[in-house]
Amino acid sequence: MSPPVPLSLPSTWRRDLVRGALLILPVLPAYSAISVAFGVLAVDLGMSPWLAVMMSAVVFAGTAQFAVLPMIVVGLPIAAVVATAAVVCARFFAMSAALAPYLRYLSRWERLSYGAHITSSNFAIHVSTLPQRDVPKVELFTTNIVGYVVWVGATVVGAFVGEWVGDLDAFGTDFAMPAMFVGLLVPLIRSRSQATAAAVAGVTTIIAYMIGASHWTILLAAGAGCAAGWSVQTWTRRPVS
Amino acid sequence: MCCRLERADVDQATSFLTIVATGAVVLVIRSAPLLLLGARRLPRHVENALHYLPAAALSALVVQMMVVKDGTLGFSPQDVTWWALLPTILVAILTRNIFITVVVGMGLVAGARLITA
Repeated sequence: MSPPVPLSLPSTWRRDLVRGALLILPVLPAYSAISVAFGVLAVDLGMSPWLAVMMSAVVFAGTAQFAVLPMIVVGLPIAAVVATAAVVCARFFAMSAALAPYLRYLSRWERLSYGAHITSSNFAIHVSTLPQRDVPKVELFTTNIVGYVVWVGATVVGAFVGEWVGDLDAFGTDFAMPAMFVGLLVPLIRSRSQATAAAVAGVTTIIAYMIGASHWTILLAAGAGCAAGWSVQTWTRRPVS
Repeated sequence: MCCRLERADVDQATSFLTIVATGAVVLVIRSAPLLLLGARRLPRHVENALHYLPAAALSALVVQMMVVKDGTLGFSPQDVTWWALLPTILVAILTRNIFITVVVGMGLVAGARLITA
């Protein structure tokens, strides 16, 4: 028998595919619930099902999609919609900057493709894997693509057969996104400085709403949280955790 | 976009363009740092501060979703998601598993609504 050299490449591919898919798997129930709910809501508000699906495919950001959907449906000017989406998604800019040092091994087009798929979940996954080991490209992009396909597919379900699903809130779908973010957040809090960052960001969110800066909430809170975490780290002179 | 003409109150062509513009802006926001920071490094202090971004952003998102309902700040004891939040956080701490956390969280809310309905 000849040595199985030609088979070695597909087997590493298969391993990387499986690993990449397994990493995103825990997030998929939340992705499905949120995205089905989006499809249902969009059609309820009078958007055509295909436009709802296109929105999930083109924007691919739950928080932004829910924020601008009512604006698009009532026909607000493009500039107002785009500005809102930009503010809601400003956190992705910082996430992209945080991952950039670890993604230098990607080509220009691969970085563009990666950037298009940055979400809070993908970020939380890769910010823990990339600094620890070399993540093969197949694994990296499998995680992103599986999440994307499920996201768009779930909007198809919500937009086209949502009428028969009934009231989704009865299944707790409105709690899927908070629960997913709790699940992503808790393992990140491994030190006093991380806990401070999360606490300050949470309190700042409420303060931002009280002073009426609702659109800027996440950005303000994330900035305040980073500053607080960094301050605690500097004062205690401990290495970054 | 042939169908759904009965919903003429929503201009589908304008919606289409708005969605494309939204997608383009979100794509630029997400990709620009990856494309532009390729060879350069951020200042050390900025890089250190960015270590806290995931925890800060996720915490802000959770608080926003829990506290802000329909655009106003508020807490209502009738809202079962509030009562589900603490057990969900406990499950997240004990299991450190997103899948279990989401399923238990949604299950608690669905169960509470089934009982109170």
